[in-house]
Amino acid sequence: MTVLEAPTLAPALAAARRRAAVGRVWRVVWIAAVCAFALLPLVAVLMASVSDTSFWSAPPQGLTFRWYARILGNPEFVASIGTSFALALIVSVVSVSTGFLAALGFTRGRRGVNYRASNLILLPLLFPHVALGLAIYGMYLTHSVPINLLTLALGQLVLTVPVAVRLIMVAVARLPRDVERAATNLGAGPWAVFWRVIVPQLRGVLVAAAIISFTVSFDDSGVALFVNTPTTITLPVRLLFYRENEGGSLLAAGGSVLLLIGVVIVLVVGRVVGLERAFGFRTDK
Amino acid sequence: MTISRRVRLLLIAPAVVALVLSFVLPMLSDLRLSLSGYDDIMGVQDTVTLDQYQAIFQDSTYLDAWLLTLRIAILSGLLTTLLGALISFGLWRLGGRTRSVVSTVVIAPLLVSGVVRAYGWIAVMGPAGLLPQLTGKLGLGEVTILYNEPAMVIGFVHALLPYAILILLASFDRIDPTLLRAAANIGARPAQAVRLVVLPLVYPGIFASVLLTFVMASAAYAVPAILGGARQVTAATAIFQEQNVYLNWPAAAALALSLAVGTLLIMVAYQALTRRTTSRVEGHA
Repeated sequence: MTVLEAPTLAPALAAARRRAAVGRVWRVVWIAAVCAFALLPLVAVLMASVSDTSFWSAPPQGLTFRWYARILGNPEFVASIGTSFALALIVSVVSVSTGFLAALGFTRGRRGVNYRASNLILLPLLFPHVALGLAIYGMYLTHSVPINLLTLALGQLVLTVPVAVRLIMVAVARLPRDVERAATNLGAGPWAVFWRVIVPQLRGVLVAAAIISFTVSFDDSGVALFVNTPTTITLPVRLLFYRENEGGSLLAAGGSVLLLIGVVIVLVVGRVVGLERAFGFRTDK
Repeated sequence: MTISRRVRLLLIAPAVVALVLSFVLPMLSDLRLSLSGYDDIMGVQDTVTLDQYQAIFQDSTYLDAWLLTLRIAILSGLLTTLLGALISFGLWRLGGRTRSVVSTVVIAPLLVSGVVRAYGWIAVMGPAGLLPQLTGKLGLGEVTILYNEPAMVIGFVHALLPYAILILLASFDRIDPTLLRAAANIGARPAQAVRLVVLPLVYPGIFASVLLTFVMASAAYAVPAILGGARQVTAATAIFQEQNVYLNWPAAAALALSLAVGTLLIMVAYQALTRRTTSRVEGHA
């Protein structure tokens, strides 16, 4: 019997092995294609930034770092780096603190979580950013409000506060209440419960909300596009304005600076909270 | 810790003040502006008129901008969701460490400035970019895709893909994997199981992804400004042009409000249309 079975089984096994090999190859091709599409424009910007031509060229023709020297030697551009960082810092601190307070207000009523009221706060998320930017700039001009870092930050709150409130609210609603009750039973007052029980449990989501607000402000090309004066132009808006009269390679070098800042943010987020947590998705099962 | 009503109102107050200043008052001011008259020589007139609204729905340049915006947003929403669904399905089947690496690569570009990513496509698809050089080598002639509708759609698909994947991956993850085994046990081939079991369960995710990406594409500024060039005017770039170049504030305000109200109406209508399918699936899940 075994002698008869061996030859009939061998081709089937070989076929199965071949199918598995083909499956593995397809898998690698699929993964490579997906990653390539995601990273393609980013890699292309980096390539173009070292090209020895004034126009966009990828792969680069020649190799030079003079575009970096030129863009980083440009006081306007360097000032924009400072503006963007200072702005994003102010916006994220204000958004997280107001968002945290509001999240407590919406979740800790006697009748539990008040979703209906909190949904009103989410309304601005449905509005186009250019419409918001135009409206804020228009209001500032009609009422002669000076445009500076603080008024620009105030304008950007429309983009970040709703996100921060929502994110933190979900986390507060999920806190186990027993821990707080136990603390109260052991004699902790409301302030002690707040600082030593509630805040430590929310550290992760507060950091995530701060990072998201920071990035939204840093990348904003809606509100900051309108609300600016020559001294408060953020990096992305500066790059948008440059496209009218600067060559491709200089734009690519400026874009690469922004890209590297983005990479640093990705690494920091990955390290501090994890991308999954910051975006609310699972990378693994 | 339950909080009294008075304290809760105090907690919510800062976020409400921030949004009144950055959203409610600006939008009201925008509404007033959109009802003002405009004269080429005298500038903004202090009258109340519907002239601007009449113009933006009758003048052929504005009509072209609305139609272009609609076309691009629909196409971008559908293509992004299709690609996002394919990638999410692959990630869902993949699992394990590979999944976490690939999903990180695909999601991380969200943290990189949208302006830079749009510029990247010039280095990919513009003259002297990667695409024309590749097609040139393949003997297809130097193909460039720039300053036209396909260029904008490609830019949008790349910009919005992470959002689609975040939504769709979450939707796939909610599916009980034993359902697939059950389908196989009662004789379904893999393709049948996907079509009859998996697909209906991710419909809500697909609907949500189409809506979100459509709305974002209809209002974004950076992609059409960079990849559309001067001749492709969308609603968002028209708003900026009217205000920044022609200083026609009333027209810009009317455009912005119409865009905002238009997207809101589309969202409401869309959700009414898809509610039946969505609630049927969620009732089962």
